[in-house]
Amino acid sequence: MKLSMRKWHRGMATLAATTCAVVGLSQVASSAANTITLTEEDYFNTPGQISALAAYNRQFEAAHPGVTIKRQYVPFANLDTKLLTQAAGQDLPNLMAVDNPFVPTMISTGLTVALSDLKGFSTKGYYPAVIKEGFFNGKYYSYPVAGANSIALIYNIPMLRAAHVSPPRTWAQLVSAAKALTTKQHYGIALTCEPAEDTTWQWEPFFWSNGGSFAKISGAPGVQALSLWKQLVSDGSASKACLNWSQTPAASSQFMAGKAAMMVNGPWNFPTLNLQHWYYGKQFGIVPVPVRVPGQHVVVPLGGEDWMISNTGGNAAEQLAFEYIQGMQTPAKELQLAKLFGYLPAKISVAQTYLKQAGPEWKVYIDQTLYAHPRTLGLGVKYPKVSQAVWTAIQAALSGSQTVKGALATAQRQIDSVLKS
Amino acid sequence: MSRVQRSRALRGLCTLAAAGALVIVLFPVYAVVVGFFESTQTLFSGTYYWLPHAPTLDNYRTVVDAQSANVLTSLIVGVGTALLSLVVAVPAAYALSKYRLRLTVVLVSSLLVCQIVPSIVLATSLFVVFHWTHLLNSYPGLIIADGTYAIPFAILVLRAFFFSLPNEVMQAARVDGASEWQTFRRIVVPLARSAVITVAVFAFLNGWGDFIFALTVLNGSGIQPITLGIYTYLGNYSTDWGAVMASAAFAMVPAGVLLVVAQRYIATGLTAGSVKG
Repeated sequence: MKLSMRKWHRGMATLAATTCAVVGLSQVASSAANTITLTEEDYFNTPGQISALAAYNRQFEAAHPGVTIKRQYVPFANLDTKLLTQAAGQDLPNLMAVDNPFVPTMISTGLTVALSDLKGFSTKGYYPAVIKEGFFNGKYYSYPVAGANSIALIYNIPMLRAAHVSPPRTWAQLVSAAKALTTKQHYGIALTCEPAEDTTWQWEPFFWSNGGSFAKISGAPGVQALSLWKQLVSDGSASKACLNWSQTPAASSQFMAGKAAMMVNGPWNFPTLNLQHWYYGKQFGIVPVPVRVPGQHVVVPLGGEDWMISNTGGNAAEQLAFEYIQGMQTPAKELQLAKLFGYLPAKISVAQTYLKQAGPEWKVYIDQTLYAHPRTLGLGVKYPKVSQAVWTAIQAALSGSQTVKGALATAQRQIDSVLKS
Repeated sequence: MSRVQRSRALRGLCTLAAAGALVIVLFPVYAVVVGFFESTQTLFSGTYYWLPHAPTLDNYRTVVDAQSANVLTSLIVGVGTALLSLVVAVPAAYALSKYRLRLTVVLVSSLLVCQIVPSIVLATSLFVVFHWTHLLNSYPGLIIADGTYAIPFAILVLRAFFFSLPNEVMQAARVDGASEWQTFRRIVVPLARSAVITVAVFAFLNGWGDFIFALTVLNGSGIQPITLGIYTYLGNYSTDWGAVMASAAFAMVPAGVLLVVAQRYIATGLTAGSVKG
């Protein structure tokens, strides 16, 4: 028995050794002389975005012999987690296209390069809100990817005409227009209230334009802005099903299927709209998100991604990665990328050229960029937690589990503790 | 009501309940099949069509080229996970049930604890370890990661089964001069066939359906299982639900075929341990 046990052990040891050997063989040495591979991670998945990046990568590789760009697609919902995991392993990709609310978190890992320390960095000509997304402790850590984006009120022209309603500019007009536009076939407006960041983002223009600030969310601007949404739902002008709707594609599909006469949404919908023969000025029109009282500035949040460079790849890779993203900041490239991405250019002068070339449907979006807010302004790494408190409050108020005031008071307590920490 | 009548009524009720449960469980599968033929616009139109409304093969065309390689990757990972689990779990379970080791209690309880740890926590630490050992971006890496769940489960199920094997069988083999290894290979493993197939199927499904480990361990190496592939169509700015449904339908086929083939063994395998024990 003893002897056979020993044999048994020996068998297991051989097995373990074989497994290790197999595993070892799978590692392939990939470092050849004079070649360098830059790894890049992003979540871009529209045909325009994919082809824009592929073309730029080819061009960059041709201009830099020996350089290979390896692009890795990561699902949108998972890129943040993945980057943090990679940061924990000190194995970040050389280049990352980071969703802008997450930029401060990436800076806080200490593993990203301050671009303003590198030669050739400049903030000249950028919309302040766009370039400030990567600003921390006196340094800039990012450049925008293909510009930025924001949201406005998109409406169905034939439906408004049939109801004899003009596009709403104020909250009072919005409430009455939405009511008049609600029929048996469709709702007045499609709201987005799923438990996620896009709900907070959709509510921000109402809240911020009304003078709100997240540090004092339970104050009058917040109560008024949330009461507006609550009223749209309780009037029956907005479907209660919005508690499960994302901005794109859930709310946007409701609009395109003719189930809602209005929606708050962004320019990334243009390709899909045109594909279904919806054209600006004929089938759909755009106005800024309505404000409570006439004269208030529309303050929208800015969406979009920022290029960041990790410092885990060594100096040569960092320099090359910087050249990669700098090459995208020339006016010509910016125009081209913004068009393919469906974004707004990040520089004021380029945006003016863009407006002439891309069409009038961009006007509202471009005009409001000057007054836009980066979502992380004053909140930095705390933004995601604050945003969660906000969308939870919106859900609670619209589902009726809490009153508007009660929901905002809960959110205020959560935000207070986040801000104190 | 006589006893016969009552039992007949009871049987009818049970059948009804089972049918009800089946409808609930199978509805997502049905929805995927319908979604396969629908355009994303129809899927979001707000009306649910029980049969494809304006059927189209566009979704199929979108995913067939893009996802076929991913299905193959998933197969490799699934089969790899199943093999790795068997290689480790069958001997381990045998040893834990038939030999008196001082550490048995500790080992078995740690196998249970293993399964409590959420995979995202494990994934983060595995990423660091794999980074050191250069296992990132490789099939072995992903298979080992998937094995972290499949193996403990397989050991526990097999161990329960091995308890039910009478010791006399092994003793008889030894009397006939078989070595410990021979007894294991020639007598024990063949007797445990259904249990082994059962855990192999579960391990396969573990590797097949894994998302978190694949997401963490793979970086632009060209290896991409179907679970990640589906996410190609779910984005921040556009989501193609029709393509998501089509990919899901694709992903169901191999796993479905495998389950149907292995079904007979799974039933026996799962009950064997408990009934005879």
